[in-house]
Amino acid sequence: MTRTSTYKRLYGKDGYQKIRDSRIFVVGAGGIGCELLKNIAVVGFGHVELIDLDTIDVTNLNRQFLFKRKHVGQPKAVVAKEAALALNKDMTIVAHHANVKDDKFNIAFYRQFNVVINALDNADARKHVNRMCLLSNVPLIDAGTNGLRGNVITIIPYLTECYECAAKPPPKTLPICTIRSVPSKPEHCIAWAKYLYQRVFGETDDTNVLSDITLASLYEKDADPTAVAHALVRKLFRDDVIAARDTVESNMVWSFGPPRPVELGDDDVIKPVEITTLSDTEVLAEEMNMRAFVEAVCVLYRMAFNHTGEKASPLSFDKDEPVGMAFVAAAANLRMICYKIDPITIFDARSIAGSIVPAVSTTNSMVSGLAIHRAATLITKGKPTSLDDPVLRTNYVTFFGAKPLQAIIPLGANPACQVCGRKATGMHCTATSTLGDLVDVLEKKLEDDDVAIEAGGTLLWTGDETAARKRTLVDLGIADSHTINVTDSDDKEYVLVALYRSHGPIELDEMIGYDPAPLDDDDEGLEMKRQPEPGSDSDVELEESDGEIEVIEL
Amino acid sequence: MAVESSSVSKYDRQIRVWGRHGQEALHSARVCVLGTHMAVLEAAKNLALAGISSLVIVDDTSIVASDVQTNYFVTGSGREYIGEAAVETLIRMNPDITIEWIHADPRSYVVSDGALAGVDVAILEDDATLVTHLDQAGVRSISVQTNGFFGYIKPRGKAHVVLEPNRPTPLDLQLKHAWPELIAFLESQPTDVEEEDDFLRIPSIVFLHKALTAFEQQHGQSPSHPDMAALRTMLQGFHRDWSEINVEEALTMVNTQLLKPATPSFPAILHHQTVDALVRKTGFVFGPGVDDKEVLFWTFAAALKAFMARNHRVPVTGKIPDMHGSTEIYVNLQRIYQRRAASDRAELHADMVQIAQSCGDSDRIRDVVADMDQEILTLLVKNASNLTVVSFSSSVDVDPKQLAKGGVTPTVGQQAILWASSREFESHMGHVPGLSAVESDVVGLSKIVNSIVERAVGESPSDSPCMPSNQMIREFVIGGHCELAPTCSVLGGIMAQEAVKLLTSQFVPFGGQLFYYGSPEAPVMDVIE
Ligand SMILES: [Zn+2]
Repeated sequence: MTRTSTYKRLYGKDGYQKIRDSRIFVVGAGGIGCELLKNIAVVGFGHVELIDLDTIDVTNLNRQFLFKRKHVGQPKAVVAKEAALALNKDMTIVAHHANVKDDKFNIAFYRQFNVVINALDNADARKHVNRMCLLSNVPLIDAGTNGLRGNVITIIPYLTECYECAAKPPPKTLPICTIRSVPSKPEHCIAWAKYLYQRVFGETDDTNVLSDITLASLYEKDADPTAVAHALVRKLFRDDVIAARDTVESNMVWSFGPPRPVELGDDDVIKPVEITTLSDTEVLAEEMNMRAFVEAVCVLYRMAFNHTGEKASPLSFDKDEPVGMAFVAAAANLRMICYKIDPITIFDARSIAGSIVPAVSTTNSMVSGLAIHRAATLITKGKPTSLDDPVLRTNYVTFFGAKPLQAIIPLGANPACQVCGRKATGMHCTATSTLGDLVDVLEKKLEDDDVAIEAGGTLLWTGDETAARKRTLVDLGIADSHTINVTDSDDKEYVLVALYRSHGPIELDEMIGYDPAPLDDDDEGLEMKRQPEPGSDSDVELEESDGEIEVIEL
Repeated sequence: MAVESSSVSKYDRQIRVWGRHGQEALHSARVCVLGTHMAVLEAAKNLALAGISSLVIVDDTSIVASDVQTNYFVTGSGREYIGEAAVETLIRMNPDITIEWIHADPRSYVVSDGALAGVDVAILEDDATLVTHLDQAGVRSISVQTNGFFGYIKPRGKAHVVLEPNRPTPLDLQLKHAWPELIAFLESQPTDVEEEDDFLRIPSIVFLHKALTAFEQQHGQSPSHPDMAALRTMLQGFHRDWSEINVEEALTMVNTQLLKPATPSFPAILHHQTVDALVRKTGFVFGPGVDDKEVLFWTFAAALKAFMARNHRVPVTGKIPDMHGSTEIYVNLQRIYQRRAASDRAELHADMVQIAQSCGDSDRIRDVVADMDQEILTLLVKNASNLTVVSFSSSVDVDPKQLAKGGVTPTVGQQAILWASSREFESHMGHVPGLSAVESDVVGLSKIVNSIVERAVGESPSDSPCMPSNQMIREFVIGGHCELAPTCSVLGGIMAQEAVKLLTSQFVPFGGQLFYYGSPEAPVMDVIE
C-alpha cells in the first residue's frame, strides 16, 4: 500500500483529504519537534510551518534524531525541514529560524492554521503561544516532557482551561544577602558565580547584585588577561574573603565556622589549564579550580573586551558553552571552598546553573505519537464543543509506575483567568481607520453608547473627547496585532486585537470567549479547584523545569 | 564500561534521569532486533539514541514501493532490504555504537548456534515461534504487534530483579528509632527560648521529637493513626504568638514521620525462597543463568533481612528533608544522619560478607560483594523498602475468563478480546482480519468475538463489559495489520523504555500485557497483569 492508501483506509477518504488539506504550526524543533515532524511527514499532513530560534548543540543528539554531529551549530528549524522533506516531497514546509514572539507571527498568521502544536521547553514561550491561539481561536496541542514524564494537553480556546488558567507556583527564590555574604549551599555559590560572570563579561546591569564589586584592572588599555585573572582570584577568593571573615557583625552567622581565603601570595603564578581536559564528573581540587578559573577568564576576556579595555562584545551565560560553564563552576567551587562547603562537579554545577530539564527519546517518542493522533482527530472531526469530548482528555505519560498513560478530563476555562476570562475579538481595520470609526462600530456592536477605550495603558476614549475621533489608530500607536481594552457601561471588559488590511471599513469579528466575569467573582474563580496531576507516582525527585531561580530582596 | 567524557555531553540530558551508572549499564548492553516492524524499529531507534553498546537487526524482508512512503527508516535509502536501510538510518542517528544487519529469517537465525549468546534483550514483532524459542534460550524479550490504531506490548522471560525501583518515598527521619547521638543532639536544642528569632532557628524535627517522646511517656506506647489529633495538638502547643513556619512544617510531617508503624513489616521480597535459601546456608548455589546483578540483589536482600531482624528498622539513608531553621543546626543533623547511614552500610556490608563465607556459592558472592562500591550500596539502601522482583507471564493471550472476573478497564478488556479473536480468525481463515473484504471480515470477526466472550462469561455476551462495540470491531478490521506512524511512535517509545528498565535495573517494568487503542476519540492504554 502507498501512504495515501494506508492512511485513507484508516482515516476514511474524507478524513484523509482533510489531513492532506490541513495546515499545522509546530513551535519548537527540539526533541519533541523532531518526532512530530517525522510523524507529520509520514502521515502526510499538507502544510507545516516550523519555528525554532535555536541552533543545534551536541547535547541535543541523544534524542533530536533529525540532526547529526555535522549539523552542530546550524539552525534547528532549517535542518529539520530538509530532513522532513526527504521523507515526504508532497508536503510543503516553511522553516522559520526566528523567535516565536516576533511581530510577524501575528493573529493573521495563526489564523491560517487548523492546529498549533507546542513542542517547547520553557514556560515563557508556551504562555505566548497560548495567548496567540486564544486570540486567533485556533486549537493548541501542548506536548511537553520532563525526563520520564510527559503530557499532551489540548486547549480549545474558551472551552478548556488554557495554559494560564491555573495559577502557577511561584519560582524558587534565594535571598540576596545569602548569595552575597553568607553562602551555605552550592546553589548560593552558583548563583553568585553567574552574577559574577554577568558582572565581568556581560552587559552592564545595575540590578546585578554584585554591581558594587570594583574591577578597575579589567578596563585598562592593553591589559594582560592572565594578570587580570590573577587579580580577580586574589580579590575574590583571598582579599574579599579575609575582609568578610574579619567583619565583626557577621561572626555569628557562619554556617561552618569563619571562611578561609585561598592560599595565594601576591607573586604566586597560577598555571592555566585547558578547559577541554577538565573532568565533568570528578570534583576538582582547589588548585585545579584556580587554574580553570584563570584559563576561563583569559578566554572570555579576549572574547568580550577589545584592546582599549572596552567591553565591546558583552557575553551572556549559556550552560552549554564550555568555557563560560567552567568559569561559573570554578568560581562557585572556589567560593564553596572558602566558605567550607563541599565543592561539586562541573556536571552538577551545570544542573544547578542551567535549570536543566532531563530529556530522553522514549518519552518524546510517546508524547509525539499521542500529539499527532490528537491533531489528526481534531482535523478530521472538527473542533469539539463539549468538555466531555474524549479528544480533549489530557494525557499524562509516566514511566515510573505501572500505568504509562493516563487520560484525565480537563477542566473548563477559568472565568477568572487573566487571559481567556474575557471576551475577545479581532478588529479589522486599515491605516486610515480612526478612533471615531471604532467608537461607532463598538457602540453598535455592544448596543451601549458609554464605552471606554484604552490601549497600552493610555485611556483613548471616555465618551467626550470629540477632537480625538479624527485621529487614526496608527497615530494612536496601535499596530498590527496590538490589543485594545474596552470597558462597557456595566464595567465588563473586552479585548480587541488589531488586524490590519489594505482596504475596507472597520469591522469587528464575532466576540469569542466568556461573558466577562463581574469583578467580585474573581477570588472565587481563582480558588476553583484545579485538577491535580494524577498519580503520586510522578512525584519523583527531578529537577524543576520551571525556569530560572529568582532572587528576592530580604 | 566507563562513560567517556565526550559522550557524557551527548547523553547529558538522560544521565540526569538514570545516572552515570545507568548510562554505563546501557553502554554495555546488547540488543537483538528480530524483524523490522515499524514499532520495533522505533524502539531500536530510541535504544540507539540512548547509547546502548550494540544493536543487531535480523531480517530478510525486501523493500516494496509502499515502504518508501510509509516507513520512515526506509525512505530515500535506495536499498533492497528494510534491515539494510534501517541500519543505515540508525547509524546516522548514532554513529558511536555498533549497529549491524544480519540478512536472515529471524526464525531460522534464532536456532543457529550461538546466535543469542550475550544478548541482553530481544525486541520483536510478536510471533509465537520466536518468543517460545527466546524463552527457552533464557533471553528476555519484548514483543509488539500493531493493527492500525490498535497495538500491544508483551514482555516475556525469566523474572527481573529491580535494584533501584526509584519509587517516590518520603525521606524517613526514623524518629521512632532515634539513636543516642541523635537523641542527645535533639534534646540539647531548647524550645523555650526568649527571642522569636532564636525560636525560628529551631528545625521542625526538634518539635517532632519532643512531641513523640511526650506522647510515649504519657501513653507508654508509640502513636498510631488514631493518635493523629493528639500529636497535632501537642505540636500546636509549641506555637507562640503566630503560626511559626517551623512548627507549621512539623505539623505537615506528623503523618510521614510519626505515624508509620514502629516496626516496618518485612518487604514481601524478604520472604522469597531465594532469600531463605541464602540465609539458611544450606549449600545454596546460584544457577548458571543468574547474572551478577541478581546475585547482588539477593545477597543484599538476605543481608537486609538479617539487619531488620536485628534492628527492627530499615537502614538509614543519610538524606534528610529540607527544613526551615538554622543552617548550622541543619548541617549538624545532616552529619549525624550521615554517620548513622555509614555505620548501617558497614553493618549490611558485613552481613553480605558473612553470607558469602557461609553459603555454598561463596566465591561467586564474594566476587560480587567485592565489586560493589559504596555508591551502589548507598543506592540499594535508598531503595531498601521497595526492592522488587517482576515476573512475566508466559501465556500467549490474556485469558478471557480472567477478564470476565472484572478489575480490568473495559476498553482494555475489549482490546484483549479483539486480539484473541483475531488470532482465532487467522487460524481459521489463513489471514488476519481486514486483508480481504472488510465487510465480510467484520462479520467473521464479530462471530468469533461473540463466541469467545460467551465462553468466558456464559450466556448474554452482549452485556459483558469485555464485549467490544461494533464500531470497535470494524475499526480493528480496517486496521488490517497496518503499521501506523503515530501508533508505532507511542509503542516504540514504551518498548524502548521497558528495555531500558530491564537493562539498567532501574524503575519497575510492567509484567503483564500492555494494550493500546489510539481510538479516534481518545487514546486508551492499560496493562493487564
Ligand atoms: Zn485561561
